[in-house]
Amino acid sequence: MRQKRKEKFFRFYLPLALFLIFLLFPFYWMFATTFKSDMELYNLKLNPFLIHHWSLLNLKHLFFQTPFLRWLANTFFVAITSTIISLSASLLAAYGIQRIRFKGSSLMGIGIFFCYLVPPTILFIPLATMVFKLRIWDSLWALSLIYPTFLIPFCTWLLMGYFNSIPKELEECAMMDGASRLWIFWRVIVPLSLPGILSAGIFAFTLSWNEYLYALTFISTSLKKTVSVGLVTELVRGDVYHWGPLMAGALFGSVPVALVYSFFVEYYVAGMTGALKE
Amino acid sequence: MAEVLLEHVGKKFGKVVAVDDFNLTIYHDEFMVFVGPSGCGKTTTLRMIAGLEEITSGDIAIEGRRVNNVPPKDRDIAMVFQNYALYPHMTVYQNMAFGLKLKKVAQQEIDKRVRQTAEMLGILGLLKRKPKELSGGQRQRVALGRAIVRIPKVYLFDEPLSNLDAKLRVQMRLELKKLHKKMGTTSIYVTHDQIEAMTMGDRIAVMKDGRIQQVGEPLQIYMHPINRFVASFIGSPTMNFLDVHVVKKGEGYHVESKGFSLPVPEEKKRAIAPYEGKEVILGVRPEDLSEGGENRGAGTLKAHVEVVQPVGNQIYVDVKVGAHNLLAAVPPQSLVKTMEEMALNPRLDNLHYFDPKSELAIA
Ligand SMILES: Nc1ncnc2c1ncn2[C@@H]1O[C@H](COP(=O)(O)OP(=O)(O)OP(=O)(O)O)[C@@H](O)[C@H]1O
Ligand SMILES: [Mg+2]
Repeated sequence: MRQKRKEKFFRFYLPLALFLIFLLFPFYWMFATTFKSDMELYNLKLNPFLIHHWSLLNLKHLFFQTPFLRWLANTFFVAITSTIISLSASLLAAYGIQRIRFKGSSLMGIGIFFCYLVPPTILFIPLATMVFKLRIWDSLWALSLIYPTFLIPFCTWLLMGYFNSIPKELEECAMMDGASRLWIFWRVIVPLSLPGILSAGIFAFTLSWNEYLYALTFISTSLKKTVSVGLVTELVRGDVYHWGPLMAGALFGSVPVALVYSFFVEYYVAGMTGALKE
Repeated sequence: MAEVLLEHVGKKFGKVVAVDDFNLTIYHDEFMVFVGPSGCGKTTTLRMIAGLEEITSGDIAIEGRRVNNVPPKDRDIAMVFQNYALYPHMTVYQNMAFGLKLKKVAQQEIDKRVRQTAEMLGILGLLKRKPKELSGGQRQRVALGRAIVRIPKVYLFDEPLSNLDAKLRVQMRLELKKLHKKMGTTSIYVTHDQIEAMTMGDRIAVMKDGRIQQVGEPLQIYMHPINRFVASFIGSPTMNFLDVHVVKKGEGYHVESKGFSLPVPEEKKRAIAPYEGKEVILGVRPEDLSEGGENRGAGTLKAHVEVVQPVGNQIYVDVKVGAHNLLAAVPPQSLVKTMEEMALNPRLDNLHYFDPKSELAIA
């Protein structure tokens, strides 16, 4: 018995603890830096892992001297619109490719996958031309429309896998009962794929929340920036790093994502394994 | 009059021929069983009748109407799938009401019919549950119920009992049969279990490699299998097959091999005559080998007992006759012992003869 517990400690808890420390340390660092004063931060004689005097100055700087709340709102807007656009498109695409076996459907699936493989650093030159022509340069809609270019392939593939785990007979039975494709899609497929749809949604949301490259390229007005770009461009002045507010911004910028994850974690896991348990 | 007619129906998946030249009429109110080994095209045929699979060639007609290009929802057919295919996110009630709602039946009528059907199947108490809260047998009933409430023209069953344990299967077999007697709707039932086929079917279609081998009433097929495959597939335990020689003896013929010689009955004489001096395959069902006293006459076989397997209502005895291994089914009172000699009397009228090349029955 004891032997077993010991073994479990070394094979499970110890590696897990090391892993957790490794993963959570950056967050702790963010947290600690946020609540330290500059004096303490740059004093090398103090233990850097502890907060000696709590200070809210960094928060004040972040919230009152930068448009951080505005950035947050922008990021929300972009993340939510692009997630909705991507989900609606991928739901239909995934269903079509997976279940209405039209000519070339599998080719299309592979094609969509390849879209995902093209690196954004290559894509953003042609995308810039399009954004100009559409006159949405320096507008949040530019991001809402561009993010789906990489979100749709991803969500489509995830949902295709999920749909594949739903027995074909369910649909066939509904078909014999007199249901139309659209009815089946809404009443059978969508309710059954809810975990898959949610996890695709969470993924899309986080990816657009964290996106940096396109946001940097297509937005220049300070008030229209997203969190990830805003922090870096406004709080790093030349070679001066405002570490305190920067870390505060990073901390508050990652809280919403963490919340979304912890809220839907069960669905998320179910969606990833794609198993439909009767 | 829901009569289902299949004429020269064929189905190919790419190069794989799943069903080939399938001709069959399923009469009004008949309970037809498709039986055959795995992969012989039973499910494919059923799905073609349902309209879930396009047919490659031939015609299918339901109630005299050609339905080749009619979508499933306009065929008025209900199907019970092997995995039941209940909607996991709906309650039993919703599952059963689903088809009626789609047909825009009035709410009151839906309620009445769902409750009636549920009562008939003994699942009235389960209406509020979700499929995952049901046992296998209960799910199976719900799947049946969902098909029954719709009162379609034709029922299709694809091995609906294969996921149940042996005891429940026997019970459900009986209930299904009763249900059919009561409702009398044309039904097509697929199974690979020959006992299920024998006990349930008004008629049976035995299939192999996408082709119908024989169609007929269960006992007719049992008594007069048309070829060696049907003979071996129908009946349990399986028929014994022996390579024998036909020889003329006086007025009649005998089939002979090392260790025995059996007279061919009068009525088979004409048919067997062309095989004089040649090989044929002799078929003997285990239950047609009865234990007999010594020297009871021309037909007695001297057998050496190798293995004795009591199964309760019978004893299966593996014996060696000459160079042949045979299985005999004898009554449980029998005192046979391993490694002893015994005498077996084949029921001469029930012996089957097959052509060794075409494997067709010689009759
Ligand atoms: N969608 C398909 N694509 C290609 N081949 C198929 C398809 N469905 C069935 N087949 C082939 O057609 C043949 C008949 O299959 P079918 O499912 O009708 O057999 P079955 O008699 O129902 O067998 P079982 O008793 O195992 O269910 C098989 O050889 C099978 O491999
Ligand atoms: Mg099958």
